[in-house]
Amino acid sequence: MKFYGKRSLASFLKVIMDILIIVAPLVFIGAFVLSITSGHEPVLDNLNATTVITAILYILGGSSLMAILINLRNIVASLIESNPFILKNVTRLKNIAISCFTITVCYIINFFINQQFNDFKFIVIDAKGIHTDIEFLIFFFTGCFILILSQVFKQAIEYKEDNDLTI
Amino acid sequence: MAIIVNLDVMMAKRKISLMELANRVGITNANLSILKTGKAKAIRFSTLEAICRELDCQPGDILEYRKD
Repeated sequence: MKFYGKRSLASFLKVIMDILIIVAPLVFIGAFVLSITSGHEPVLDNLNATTVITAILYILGGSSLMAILINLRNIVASLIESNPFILKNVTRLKNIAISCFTITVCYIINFFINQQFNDFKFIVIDAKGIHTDIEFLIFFFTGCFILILSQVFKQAIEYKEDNDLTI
Repeated sequence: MAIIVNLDVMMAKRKISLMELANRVGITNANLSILKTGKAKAIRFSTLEAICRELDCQPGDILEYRKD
């Protein structure tokens, strides 16, 4: 199986990401509109500081998710061109890490302002399946790892430049 | 950089063009140009050997150390 270059797994992934970049904002806006106008407890009927902050967190989290999708799509595009070791990819990886940390902060703020302490469950297995509330930890560690990866990429670019300029 | 490449001087003495030397040494025109203009970061011994063979000279004729 070809992993990068033309007609590879990377090409297939780029198509999926292009679809997600179009569909995700529609789902994001749709869910937001539905939550404020209808549903079990429409937000517009219960407007207060907490709901406004929750809405801001939702927009911030959603925007960060879009930033992750767009940067990841551009990294995959460079893989298709078989030229991944470029400084732009270092910046893109850093942006993805920042977005992950932003989502982590959104989760934590949401946890406190909506007083989810009593309902917090590390991991639960019941009749409906496996549930966890530790998504914030996943995003935090992913952000840390991607930040390290961006520095590894930067080092790889330096080695590549040294090699390219070795006659 | 402290190492100066005097390839153009030697090429002028032997009356050989960049393209001809690149062909004889077995590297591209672009790479030889990078070397000639002092933009190279390193040179392989095999390349240095080939250049000295074709220009009939010593490494010291091509490479010079100058204090910054």
